[in-house]
Amino acid sequence: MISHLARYGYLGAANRPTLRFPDGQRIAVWIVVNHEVYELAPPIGPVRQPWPRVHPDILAYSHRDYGNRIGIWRLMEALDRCGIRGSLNVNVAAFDHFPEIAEACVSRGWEVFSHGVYNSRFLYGLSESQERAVIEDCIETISRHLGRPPRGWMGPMGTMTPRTLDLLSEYGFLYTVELFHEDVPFPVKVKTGRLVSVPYTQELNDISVIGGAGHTPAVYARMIQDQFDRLYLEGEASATVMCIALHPFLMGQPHRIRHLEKALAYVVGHDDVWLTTGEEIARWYLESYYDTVVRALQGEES
Amino acid sequence: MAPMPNEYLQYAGRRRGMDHDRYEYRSMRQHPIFRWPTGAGLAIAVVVHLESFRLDADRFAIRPIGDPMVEFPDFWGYTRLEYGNRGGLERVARVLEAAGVAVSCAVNSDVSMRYSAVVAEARDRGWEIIGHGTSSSIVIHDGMRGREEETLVHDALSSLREATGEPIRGWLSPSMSESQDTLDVLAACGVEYVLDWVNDDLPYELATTSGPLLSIPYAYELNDLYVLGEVKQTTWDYVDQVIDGARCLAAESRVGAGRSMCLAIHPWIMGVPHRVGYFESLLTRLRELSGVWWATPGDIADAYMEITAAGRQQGAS
Repeated sequence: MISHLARYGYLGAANRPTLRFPDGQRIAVWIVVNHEVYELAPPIGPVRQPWPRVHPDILAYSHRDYGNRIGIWRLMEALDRCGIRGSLNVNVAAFDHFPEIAEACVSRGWEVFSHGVYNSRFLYGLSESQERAVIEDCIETISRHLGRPPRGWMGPMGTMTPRTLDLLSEYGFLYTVELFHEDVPFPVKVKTGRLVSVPYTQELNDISVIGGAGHTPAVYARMIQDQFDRLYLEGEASATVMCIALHPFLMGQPHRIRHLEKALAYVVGHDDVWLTTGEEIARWYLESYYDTVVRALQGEES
Repeated sequence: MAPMPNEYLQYAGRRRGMDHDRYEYRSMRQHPIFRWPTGAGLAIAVVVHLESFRLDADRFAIRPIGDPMVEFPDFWGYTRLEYGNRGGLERVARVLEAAGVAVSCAVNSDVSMRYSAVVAEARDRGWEIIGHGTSSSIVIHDGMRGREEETLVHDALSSLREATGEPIRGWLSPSMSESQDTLDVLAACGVEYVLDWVNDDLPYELATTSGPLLSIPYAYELNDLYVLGEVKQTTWDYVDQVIDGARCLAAESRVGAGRSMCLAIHPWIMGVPHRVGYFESLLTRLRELSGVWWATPGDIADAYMEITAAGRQQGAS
């Protein structure tokens, strides 16, 4: 059993450093575009199934495929109009199927990070050598298409093993987005090297707000603005990080894109906003705060 | 947890394009620019659902979308759906007639037996009739491959053809669910286009063992059954979102290829008194948009075949 603090420890408010971004901005905003691909006929999964409802599930498959054909392009153009670089969280097989998506990331200067191979292949139950093969596959595939390796990680369909975080730092990943205990970056305890938890979001995620709860895009846009307002306010005292998590098959639909653009225009319309990527946030934290916070954590524990 | 076999990390379909051979990948940016026959950029198809559920059916392995799945006998759920062929349909039909737009209907063949007057009336109104399985309670999936599926498709189409005298060229599977053979079975039975695949705002070709079918865009997330029946948003939110969707597609079609969208209307949902006025205003607002071609899915299929044939000729010359 892994105790809850074993991976990250706790630091009381009095012992936390005041966070400042290099150019003095109050808030860092990063947009994660989750580009996921599912197989039409994936193998039976461990614990849970990629298509639990019916086989084949052409409704769910084609709904997801809308993201490949239409959604990602509509979303990229909306972000272009807002002057925002996205961070593509990609099931890497997507680049083998649709290399034009990788090319579009390169030409836009988007960050690309790894979301496993397919969203229909989970990490549950993999041996260490099998899990290493998945990680190496992700590094190889992204490097082949982008000319550089990924620095961030989310497990496929959010799956993991108890050893995943240790393997990530060993393979040169800088950050994970799978810990939700803080809304600022935080050091993750790993066996070798350093790994940062960069705040992602389950709350401000189109898949929970629109896909899960069935809210309208207007509600989602308002939630984005509310989240921004509060973090912007708090960012005056100590810099804050805000993530907006999108899925092309959902937010790339024609009836939603206007609402997203309106919310993003609101964010971009403020001064002192750092429009950035996960990797840039991780590198800023590693350079400026990681070691200080680790020392403070060791002090609390000793 | 049991160890995973190494085969779990082998990916047979990992290659350029799709992981199957039914259709090719095509992004919205790759399609040649074209206009619909009237010069419009956006085609809108109205598909009214004429459906029959089975009160006494087994409790199915696959839950049909919209079926409340309560223990037999569930007259509460069943008659609410039945309302769609009666008061709900009359109200929806009046609104559509007043709007003067092209209409099609997806018809379970059980309806042509149980409500033959409803189907005859739809035909007499000039609505295009689209095959929609035998009953909305019976969902096609891999568990019924082979004779069972062939019989279902054959029965559904021949009943509608006999009842209406129409060729029945289009198909929408109940709950938008197919087995891996359905497209082959449909094409062999003379179907020319299907509405089951929700991955595009444009038609595209699906390969079958009897030549290509066309996929015509249908409505999933803007379906009244999804928006109002499943996630239970308000009717005015439904209307605003359809307008937003149409405006986005119309704007894209002015600078790129034409687009196609669908209003999928279930009379048991949209035909209730407190909703139908919103449907009326939705049609009014959509008719105020410029560059819209109101068409049936069959019209869209015909136009798209002509457009792509012309494109191929140009490409060859």
